[in-house]
Amino acid sequence: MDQLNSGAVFGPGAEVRMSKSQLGFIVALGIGSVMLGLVLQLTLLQYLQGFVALSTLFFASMFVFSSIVAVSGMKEGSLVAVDDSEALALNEFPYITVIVPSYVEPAVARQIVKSIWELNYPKNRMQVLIVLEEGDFATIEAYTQLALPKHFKVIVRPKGGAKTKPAAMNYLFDQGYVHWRSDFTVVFDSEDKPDKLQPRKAMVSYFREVVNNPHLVCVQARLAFSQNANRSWVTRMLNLDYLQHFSIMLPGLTRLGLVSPLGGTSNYILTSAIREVGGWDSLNVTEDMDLAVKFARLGYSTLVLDSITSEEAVENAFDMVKQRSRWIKGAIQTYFRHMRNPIRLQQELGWKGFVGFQYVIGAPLVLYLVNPVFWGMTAIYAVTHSEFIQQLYPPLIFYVAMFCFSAGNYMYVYMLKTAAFRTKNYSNVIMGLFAPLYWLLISIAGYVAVYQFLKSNKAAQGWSKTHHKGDNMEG
Amino acid sequence: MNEGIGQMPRRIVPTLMAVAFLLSVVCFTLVTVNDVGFLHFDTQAHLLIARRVCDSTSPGLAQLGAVWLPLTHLASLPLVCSDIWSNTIYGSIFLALGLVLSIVAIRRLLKGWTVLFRWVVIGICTTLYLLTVGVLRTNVFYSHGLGMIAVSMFCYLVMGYYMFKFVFELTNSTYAAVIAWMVLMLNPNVLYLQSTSMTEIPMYFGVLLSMYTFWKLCKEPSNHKWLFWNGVASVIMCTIRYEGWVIVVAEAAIYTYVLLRNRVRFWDLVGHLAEWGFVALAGVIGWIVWNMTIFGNPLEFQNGTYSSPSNWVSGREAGFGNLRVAFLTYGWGIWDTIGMVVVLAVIGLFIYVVSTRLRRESFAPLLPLVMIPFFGFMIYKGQRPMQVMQTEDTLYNIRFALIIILTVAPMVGYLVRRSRVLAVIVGGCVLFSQFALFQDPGITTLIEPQRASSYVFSQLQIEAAEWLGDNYDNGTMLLEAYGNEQLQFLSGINLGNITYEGTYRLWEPVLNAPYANQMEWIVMRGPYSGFAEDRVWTTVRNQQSFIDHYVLVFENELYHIYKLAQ
Repeated sequence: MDQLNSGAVFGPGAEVRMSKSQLGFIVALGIGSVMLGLVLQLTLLQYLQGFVALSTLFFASMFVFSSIVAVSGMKEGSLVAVDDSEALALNEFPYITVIVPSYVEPAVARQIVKSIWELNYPKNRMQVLIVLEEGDFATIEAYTQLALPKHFKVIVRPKGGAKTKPAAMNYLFDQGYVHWRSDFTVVFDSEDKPDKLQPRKAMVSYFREVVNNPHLVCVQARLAFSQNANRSWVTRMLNLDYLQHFSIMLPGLTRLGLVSPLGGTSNYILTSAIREVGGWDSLNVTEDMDLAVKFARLGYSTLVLDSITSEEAVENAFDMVKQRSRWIKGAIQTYFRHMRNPIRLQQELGWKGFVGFQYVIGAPLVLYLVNPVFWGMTAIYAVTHSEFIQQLYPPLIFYVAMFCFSAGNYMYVYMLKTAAFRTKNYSNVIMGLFAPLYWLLISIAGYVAVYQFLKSNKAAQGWSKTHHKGDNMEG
Repeated sequence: MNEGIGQMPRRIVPTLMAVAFLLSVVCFTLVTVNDVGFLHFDTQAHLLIARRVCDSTSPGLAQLGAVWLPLTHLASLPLVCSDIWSNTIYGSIFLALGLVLSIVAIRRLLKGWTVLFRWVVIGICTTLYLLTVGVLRTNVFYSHGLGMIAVSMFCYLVMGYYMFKFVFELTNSTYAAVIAWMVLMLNPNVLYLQSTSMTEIPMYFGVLLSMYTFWKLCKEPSNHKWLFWNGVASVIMCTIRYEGWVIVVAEAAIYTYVLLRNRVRFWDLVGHLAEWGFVALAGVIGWIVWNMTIFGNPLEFQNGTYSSPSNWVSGREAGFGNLRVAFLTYGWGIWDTIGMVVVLAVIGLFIYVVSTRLRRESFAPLLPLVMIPFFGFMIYKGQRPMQVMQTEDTLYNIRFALIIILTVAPMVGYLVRRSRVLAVIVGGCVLFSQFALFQDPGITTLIEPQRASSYVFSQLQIEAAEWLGDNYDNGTMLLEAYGNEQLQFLSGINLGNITYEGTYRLWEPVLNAPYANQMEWIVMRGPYSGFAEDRVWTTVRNQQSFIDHYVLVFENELYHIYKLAQ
C-alpha cells in the first residue's frame, strides 16, 4: 500500500541517457543530410542558407507557440486565485504529507521548521517528514538541536544508492514513512517560505476545480525568489524569470491542456497519483519535470495557484549557470526518456499534447543553443555589413528572420517585464530590458548541459548542489 | 471623473454609424465625380509607395522607405496590390477558401430558414463574391486610389464611434456625445480628407484612440489593461504620421505627473514608465531601427536626402523666423479648418478646466493642444512650413491645424453635458458653423491643392504624364521617383519597369551608365522656377553614351523624355 509502483509503465528512467535507436536516428540524420548535400551538390553557402532557413522557421514557430501560451496565460482565471477569506472558511481538511529533503543545509534548518510550523492548517491533518542523508553530520546536528513539534519527523537515510533529492523522497514512500491516510503530498526545499495560507488555498482551489476537471492531480503554487530578489543583477533577473514562468507561461500551458512542468517545490500532489506513476526518477536532475510528463501521459492535469512560496536565488552568474545547466540537463533527460517511443507518446498525449511536449521540453534547448549564433551574426552584421551574412538570407527568409528577431525578442522581453508589473513588482520591471544578457548566460548553461549530458552517465546524472544562506543572508 | 457611467445608448450609436457611413460614401462619390481626390501630390505619392511593395524593379517591404511612416501603406497593401496577389496560385486558393468558408457560415447563419431561401441567399452572396474577386483582380484599387481611400473611410467611421464613446464616458451625457460627434464628423475638411488617400484621417483615428485609452489609464495608472491598450493606440498613432510622436511625448510627461501625484516611489515610477513605454514607444523605436536596417542611418527619416526640411521649406514663409506670425498662422489655420465652433470650444475648455480642476485624468482630451506650441515653433524654425491666406495670401499645409478638432469636439460636447436646451442650441450652432465654413473660407484642405494644381509646374507634369501615357511602350525606364510622383501615377506606366532611387543596388550603376544597363527610356526633370532639377538631369545629360544613343521624344519647360535610338 505504501510502496511505490515500479514505474515500469514509462520504461527505464534517466539511468539510460539515450536509447540505441535514438542514437541511431541522430547519426542517420547527420549522415543523411551530408549525403543529401553530396547528391544535390550543395555548396557550403547553400548548406548554411539551409541552416538559416530551418532556424528561422524554428524561431517563427517558437514565437507563435510562445505567443499563444502567453496570451492564454494572461487571460483572467488562468492563474487560479483564492481569497484569504475563502481559504479561512475551508472546513474539510485532507491529510497532507510535507516532505523536506535536506542535504548540507544546516543554516536553514530552523527557518524551514518555523515556516512549516506557521502554516495555517490543522496540525493533526499534517505530517512533516524531514529526510536527511547519513554522513551529513552538520545538518543532522542542526535538526537534533531543534525541539520539533510532534507531527514533525526527521528521517536519516542510510548510505547507498543515488544521493539525490528524488531518491530521498522515494525512500520515504518505499520505507512506508508516508502516512497511509495521506491525501496530498507537498515537497518544500529547505530554504522555502510558503505563504501561511497556502495549504488551505491549495485545497480550496482543488475542491473548486476538480468538479469540472476530475483528472486534476496537482495544485502548483507559484515560486518567487523574493527572499533576496534585489540582492544582485542575477537575483533580479532570476526573480523576473520566475515571475514570468509562474504567472504567465505555466498558467498558459495548464489552460491549454499542455504538458506543464512542475516547479521544484510547493506542488500539492495527490499521494495516490505519486504512487501510481512510481514516484520520482531518482537519477533525473529535474525530477519534477519528469513527473509532470508522466502525469500528462496518464491524462492527468495540474493547475497553478496564485500563492507564493518564497525562495532564495543564487546570487552570482557562475552559480546561476551551474544551476541552470542542471535544469536544462534535466530537460534533456526528460526529453530523451519520453521520446524513446514517440508513437506511443503521441498516442498518450494526442497531437496537441505531443506538439506541446516538443515545444515545452525539447525546443527551449535548441533555442538556447542557436540563439547566440544568430545574435552573434546580427552583431557582426551591424558592425561590418558583411556581404557573406547578407547572402545567408534570401529575401523571404530575411523578412521572416527580421520579424522573428524583432517581434520574438520584443515579446520575450515584454513577457518578463509584464510578469513583474502584473505581480506588482514595479521596481523590477526595468530589469526586463537586460534580458539579452540574461539569455546569454542561459545559452552558456545550455552548452554546459549538453556537454555534461554527452560526456558520461555520471556527468549527466550529476547534481550540482546550490547552497542557501536562509535568514543569515548577510553572513 | 464620472462614477457610474451609464450604458451607451443602444439606438443612437448604430444610427450615427449609419449616418457616418452614408456621409462617407456620398462625399467619396462627390470627390471622385468632381475629380478632386488626387489634387494633393501626396495622395499619389502614398499610393506609389504602397504599390511599389509588390510592383517595382525590387519589390519588398523595403520600398516603404523612410520619409513617410508606414502603417497606412501597410494597411492598404491587400487592396492596393490586390491584382498581383489575387492572380497568383496562392491568391486563388485563398479566395476559393474564402468562398467555401463564406458559404458554410451563411448556411449556419440561416439555419431554420427554408432550403430555397438559403440557396437564394447563397446564390446572391456568391454572385457578389465573384464580382468582388473580379474587381480584386483588376488594379482599380491602385489606379483609382480606392485601396488607400478605403483605409481612410474605415478610420473615419471608427473615429466617429470612439469620439462618441469617449465624450459619452467623459460627460455621461448622450447629448454631449452627439454634439462632439457632429463637430468632428460633419466638418467639411474631415469629410474631404476621408475621401482621399491622405493619411490625416487614419492619424486622427490613432490619436483619438490614444486619447481615450490614455484617459482610462490616467484614472487607473497601474491598470495593466489600459497600459497595454494605450501602448497599442500609441503605436498606431506613431506609425501613421510624425504628429503622433509629439503626442506620445506629451503622454509620457502627463503619465509621469499622474504617477508623481499618486506618490509612487521612484523605482516604481520607473517601472510604470518602462512598462508603458515598451509598448507605446515601440512604433518610434521600430521606425528608427527600420531606418538603420534599410538605410544604415537611424535618422534617415529626419536628415536623409529625401527627408530634409529644405526639400519643402523655401525660407520665404512669413512665419519662418517670426514667432508671432508663426503662431498666428497656426491660429488662422485652426479657424479656417474647424470654423466658428472653435469659440464654443474655448468656452467649453474654460468650464472643463474649472470644473475638473485639472484632475489627473482630465488632461487626455486636451492632448492635441500640444500641437499648437509644436507647430508654432516648427513654423518659426522652418522645419514644417505652413501658410494661410490671412498672413500670406496663399495656402500651404493648412491641414496641419485640423488635428485640433480632436480637442474642439469634446470641449463643445462638454459645454452641453447638463442641459438639453443648451444641447439643441449648440447643435444648431455647430450645424451653422459647418455650413458657414463650407461657404467661407470653403474647404481649405481642398482649395489648397486646387490652387497648387493650377500652377504651371503641376500643369507641366500633367502634360508630360499624358504624353507618356499615350506613347510609352512598356520598355525599361530610368526615372527619379522623388518629385515626379504625379508623372508616374497619372501616366499609369508599369512601375516594374522603372529603375529609380529605390531600386536595390541598381540605381547608382544605372544612373551612371543607362545605355550599358539597357535603359530604353530616360525621363529627366530640369530646373524650374525655384524647383531643383532631379538627379537624372544632373547626372545623365552630359554622358557621351547618352548623347550618342538616345533621342529626345518629348520636351516641355519641365521635362525632357528620351528614348533609345533604334
